[in-house]
Amino acid sequence: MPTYGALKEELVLQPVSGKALPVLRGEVLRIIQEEGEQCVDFNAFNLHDYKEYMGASNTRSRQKFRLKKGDMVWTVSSRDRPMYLILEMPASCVTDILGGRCKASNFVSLGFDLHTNCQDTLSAAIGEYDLTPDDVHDSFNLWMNTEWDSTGSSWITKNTGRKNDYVDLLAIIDTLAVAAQCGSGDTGPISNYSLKPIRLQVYGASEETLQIIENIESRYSGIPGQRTPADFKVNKIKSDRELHRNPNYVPEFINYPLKTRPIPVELDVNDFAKAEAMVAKGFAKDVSECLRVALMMWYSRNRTAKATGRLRY
Amino acid sequence: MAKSESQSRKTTIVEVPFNQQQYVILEKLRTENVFGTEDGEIIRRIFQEFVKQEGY
Repeated sequence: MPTYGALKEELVLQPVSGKALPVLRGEVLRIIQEEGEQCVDFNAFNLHDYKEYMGASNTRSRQKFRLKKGDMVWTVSSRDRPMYLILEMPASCVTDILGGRCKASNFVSLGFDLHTNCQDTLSAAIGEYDLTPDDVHDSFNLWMNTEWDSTGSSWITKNTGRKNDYVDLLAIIDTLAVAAQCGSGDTGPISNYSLKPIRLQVYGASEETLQIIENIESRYSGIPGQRTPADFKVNKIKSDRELHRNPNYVPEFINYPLKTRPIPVELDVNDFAKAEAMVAKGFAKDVSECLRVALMMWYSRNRTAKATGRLRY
Repeated sequence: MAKSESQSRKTTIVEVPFNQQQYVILEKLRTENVFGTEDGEIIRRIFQEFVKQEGY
């Protein structure tokens, strides 16, 4: 565990509330269970460009469905940058990046009246930075035991968070971090039918945390395909809500139209028979497709950055 | 699939379509020169390697 800088800020969130806090490059946000068994919803934004925010789906595809210590939280696919490194996370902190966030209507339909919920709590917290409820995005949920099966069904089981558990998030870029107690905790196992306080601490950057970031940047910055607003064909943020068609707009689709070239491949009797056998087993619809699929699969497994470990997704 | 057979050599020519995005992979493999320098040769030899690796 690296040494952090001095404690810069500390506060306790009483249920149910949230707080938006700047956590700058090299700083560490610590989220602590004051009593245990409390689900925490987490949102985040690039402090200098709120349109770059935490990408739940990008993080899922880059990492996994259940983040652990050592994984990274990524920004949205339009920017695709590492945002936080999870420096510390106990095994009792099961995470969820599938479930999004609860909202008021969930509880009305369950027979409750106006009830605490993450959409509204996060909205209230980010209002301090002039962000709107529409800017709340899908959460990275800490201490949330979501399970799922191969049919796509999901459900939530008992919260396993313990008193004094903590999660440390190292900011890789300057961020606005937003943490909130999940407001549904008193209606189900998500927080074991009660709502509890959480503590937030922000530690300053240190030589060690900055060194970690430099290592991450050397590996993950400047990846071809990562974009900034300067790369966008349309890069002005709309100031009105109504959508109007721009008759002068011409889309620029990548590599459009696709062009295909046939490549002759000479196969001997044995290779042709093998390919036909693979087709018979359902590997491809014909021998031609079999050869192309085999090459693409072989390349993916033997030559891509993922396969060789040069770049971890 | 376009296919023609050479009875004398008992081989079959199979035409394998690649779009320009997929073709980049062949260009890289050609530069690498581990499986040959001709596209058709590379495809054939990687097919053989794939079959070996995957146990087909």
